[in-house]
This record gives sequence, C-alpha cells and structure tokens, in this order.
Amino acid sequence: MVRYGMVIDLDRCVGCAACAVACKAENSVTSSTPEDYKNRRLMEWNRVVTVFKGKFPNVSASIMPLICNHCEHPPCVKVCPVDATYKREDGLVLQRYERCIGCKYCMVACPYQQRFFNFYDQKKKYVERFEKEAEELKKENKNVPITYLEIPYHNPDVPSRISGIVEKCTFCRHRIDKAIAEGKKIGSPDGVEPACTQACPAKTRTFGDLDDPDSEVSRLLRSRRNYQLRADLGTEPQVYYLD
Amino acid sequence: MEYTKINGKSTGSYVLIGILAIMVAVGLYEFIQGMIQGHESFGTSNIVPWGLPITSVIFFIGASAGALMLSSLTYVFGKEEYKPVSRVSIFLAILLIIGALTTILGELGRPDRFMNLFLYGPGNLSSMFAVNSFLYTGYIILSIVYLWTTFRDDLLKITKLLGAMAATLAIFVHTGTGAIFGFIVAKELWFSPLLPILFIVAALTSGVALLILILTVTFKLIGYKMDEKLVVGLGKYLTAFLLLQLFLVFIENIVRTYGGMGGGEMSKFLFEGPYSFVFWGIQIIFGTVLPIIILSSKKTMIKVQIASLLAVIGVFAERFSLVIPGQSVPSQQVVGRTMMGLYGEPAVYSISGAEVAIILGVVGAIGIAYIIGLRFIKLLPSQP
Repeated sequence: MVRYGMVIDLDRCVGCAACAVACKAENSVTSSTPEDYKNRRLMEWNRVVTVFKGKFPNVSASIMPLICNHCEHPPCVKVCPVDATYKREDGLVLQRYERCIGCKYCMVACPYQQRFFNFYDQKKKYVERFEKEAEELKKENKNVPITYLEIPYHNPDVPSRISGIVEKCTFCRHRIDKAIAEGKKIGSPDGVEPACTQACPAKTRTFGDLDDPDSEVSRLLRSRRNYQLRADLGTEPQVYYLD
Repeated sequence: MEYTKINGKSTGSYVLIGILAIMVAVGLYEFIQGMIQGHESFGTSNIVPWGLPITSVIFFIGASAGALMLSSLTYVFGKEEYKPVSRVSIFLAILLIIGALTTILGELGRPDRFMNLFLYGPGNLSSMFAVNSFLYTGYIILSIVYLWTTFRDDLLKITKLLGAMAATLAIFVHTGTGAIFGFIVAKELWFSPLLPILFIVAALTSGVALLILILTVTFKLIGYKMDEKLVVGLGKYLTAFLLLQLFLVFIENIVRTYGGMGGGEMSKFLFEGPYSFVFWGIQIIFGTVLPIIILSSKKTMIKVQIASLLAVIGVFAERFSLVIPGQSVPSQQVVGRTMMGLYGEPAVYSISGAEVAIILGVVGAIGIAYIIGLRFIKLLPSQP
C-alpha cells in the first residue's frame, strides 16, 4: 500500500515562506485583499507561523510551516454530510468540489484550521480587480500591462473553485496523478513532489511514501526524533515534524 | 373540548401580516444576494465559520422540540388542564422546525445543492448533519400526522401513541442537534457528553417560555381570555427547567475550569473575553437567575410573562455563547506553545446585517404561517 506523507525538518526552516508563495501559484489560490486579512478570511493552504513558549528573556520560538495534515483519521471526512471530503486509498484527503454544499462543518471540525471558505467567486473578483486597476492606469495615461486583462492566470491542472464552497491543500494531487499516469517516480529527493517541497530552498520538506521502508521520509522518521501536530486528538496526521 | 378558527379579518391582523411580509422580503433579498455574490457581507470568517444563523437554527429546533414535548402533557400523560394550548403547541413545533431548516438554507454556501444531503447523506452516516437531515424530516412528517389525529375524536389511542413517539423523536432530534457540537473534538468548549442533555433542558425551557409568550400575546390580540391558572401551571414547569438548566451550566463550566483543557484558553475566553457579557450578563444573570427569582415569588400572569421573555433571551444567549466563543480561539498546534501574531489571536465575530435579515425573514415567515394557520385550522379553544 502507498501512504503519502511529509516530513518537515524545523532545524532547516528559515521562515522565508517560499512554500506559501509556491502553493498559491501552483494551486491558483486566490490572492487575499487587506479586507480579507482584517476579517480573518485569508486563503492560505500553506502558511508559515511562529510558535513560542515562555516569557522574555526566557523565550524559545520556532518557525513552523503548516499545511493540511492529511490525517489517518480525518475529522473533516467524518463530519462531511454529503461525502464531498474523502480519504483516498493513497492517504490523500481530497474534496469533490462539485458536491460541497458549503455547510462549513468540516471547518469547525478541523483542529488545524486548514480549511478555507470561498466568501466570493475567485475568478470574478480577480477580473474585477484588474479591470479597475487597468482603468485607473488608463486615466493616468500609463501603459496597462498585458497580464492585467488578457491572461487571467489559472493553473489548468487545478479545478477552479466557485463561491460558497470550502477548499484545502491537496498535496498537489494533480502532480501525483500526472506522475502515476506517466509512470514517473513519486517522492523526494529525485521524484515528483508537491510545489511547496520543490520550492523550499533549505530542503526543509521531504515528501514520499510512508509505507515504503526505503523512501527518504521513512529513513528520516527512523533516524530522527519526530512529532505530529496535536497527536493528542487522535487524528494521526501524516505530516511529521523533526525537532 | 371545542376548538375554533379565528376570524383574522381585522385591520390589525393585515397590518401585522404586512410588517411580517416586509421582513420576509428583506430576508429573501439578502438570501438571494448571498447566493449570487457569496457570503462576503456576512460577519463570519475562516476561524468563525458559523455565525448567528446557526445560533438561531439550534434555538428554533430547541423551541420546536420543547413545544412538542409539552403537548405530550395532554395527549400522553392525560393532564387535561393543558388541553387548550396543546394543539396549537404542536402546530408551532412544526412551524419552528421548518423555520430552522429554512435558516440552515440561508447559511449554506451553496443552497442550490441542498438535495445533495439526501442523495449523498446516506453514504456518510458518521456525519451528524447527514443523520439529522433524516431525523428532522421524520420529525416533521410524524408531527404533521400527530397534529391531524388530534382533530379526530375516534383516534384517541392513536393520538396517544403518536404523541409518545413524536415526543421521543423530539428528544432524539435535539440530542442529535447537541451532538453536532458535542462530537467535535477540536473545540474544547463543545466536546462534552453533557451537551446533548443541556440542549434538551434548554429546549424545554425555551419551548415552554416561547409558548407562554406567543399564546398570551395571541389571546390578547384576538380578544380571548387566557386562563391564569394554565399560565401559572406552565410557569411552574418553567421554574423547574430553569433550575435544571442553571445546574447543568454550572456543572459543565466547573468541569471546564477544573480540567483546564488546552491550558484553559477557551474557557478563559468565554469567561473574560469580549463575549463574556453575553455569558455572565445575559445568559446567567438576566436570562436564568432573574426569571428564577421572579418565578419564586407568588406567580401571576404578568410575572410569568416577564420571566418567559427573560428565559427566551437567556436561552438564545446560551446558544450564542456556545457557538461563537466556542470557535473564536484558534486551537494550539503544538501543545503548550502559543502561535505568534495574528494566527494566535482570537477572531472576533461581528454580527452582520445580512445574517440578521435572513433570520428576521424566517421569523416573519413563521409569523405569517402562524396567523394563516389560526385562520384556516381549528387550533385555538373556543370561548365559553
């Protein structure tokens, strides 16, 4: 059996957030506005946070990239009333966007806040925003960059999301599916890997098959001390952190 | 006992229907806007995805279950003194549960895909939403049949049986509603086996209190005389339910404080955070302790009415301080370590006009259906 997972070595992480940028570009996750930030509606499949313990001057802090943990016992799958969120045989927790009714039950059930609601139509908002900016540029008699109107960027491999549904990290399923179809090797260091893993300049992340004893992830988990996020909740995350 | 329809052709009744219709129109407008534009105008966020509509959904379901359980006093336990209000309480229970389901529609991100619940729901019965959608449907159908049998004097035994079944189903319906929250391991304020029981007690409180309010106001408006003994009798039940509710809230919070799950962050937010006035002020003092004090003196009609109004507000505040503060604090990712900056801060939910409009629209629709029901169905007792 294949069971995909990720190992994140926190000793290597420099907190540059290249993974977050790569994820946004790869999965065409909508760019958030200042209002979204204020209203806590950020779309961040991948985010980099700092956790700390203690009071100054005795503080210990560490930078942590957070993604969907693709749990072995996912609470989001358990609560989905329309079976839109499901766990694939290879361990990926995925969604059928066309089935989601937007009840947001998975969002309250996820202990990791890794699910994001589409408060508006991503594509419509994108077009509206750039049309407005182009108009303003025209008023000032400046050149309008061609990217503003003619190439609304969207990765053709990733389905677009309409307003009113929930979305989340997919472990770049389109890359994995493509690799399976083309018979390529999957997993770090020399195979196909998710965009965040590929983008990391410090080789913080390692992606691969947790059930394969020869894979890089298994080797890392054997050799180093590791933990999962909120293992006390019994969700069995498939993303491991090395400390 | 004889029942009668109301005339309901006075100017006042048409004015009332007009006001309620405006509420429905505004609510419908906001609902359609939400469907076209998305929920951008809502006060919800990715941290607090459930807002005021869910609060009122569980309030409506609770009031419905409470009203139905109350009707079993007459039809199952044979307490004839409550017969004048039992039939109309079944009718109200049906309206309230349908109203609750309509509010859910207004809260869904894609209400046009509502049928998916019934198409794919059976595929994942570990979801309380899927289980509940079948429980609620069964409950509505059973209640309608139960209401119909109360019109037939030759079906007394069947009424009794159906009444017992409907009251049992009402308990399960509300247990299921409580389980929506009680099963969520991620939220420290929700994950509790006591929650379904607290929901049932709160249902009874709000059911009785809402029934007293609606019926006394209805009787006053159409010029009927309300039997004071009946209201005082219901007031006694209300006192008992309020005391039980206060006790359960006390037990649950003492466990939260003593156990201090997750560093006690979430209970601290409930007790001291920006919503603490809802918990301490409205729920505990204004909505529970004050009506108990009022009811513990000699009960009169007006006292019971005031206490009922306070109890209804108190139960709504109880729902609010469960749903909103329960979600507000982002849960810790590494136990014992705090997240720095925005990610670790509690999200404050601000009530938005769109959500209030949708809820008021549903209230308006329930009101119109109630007035029309009184005009065309023999629900109220005829005056001697």
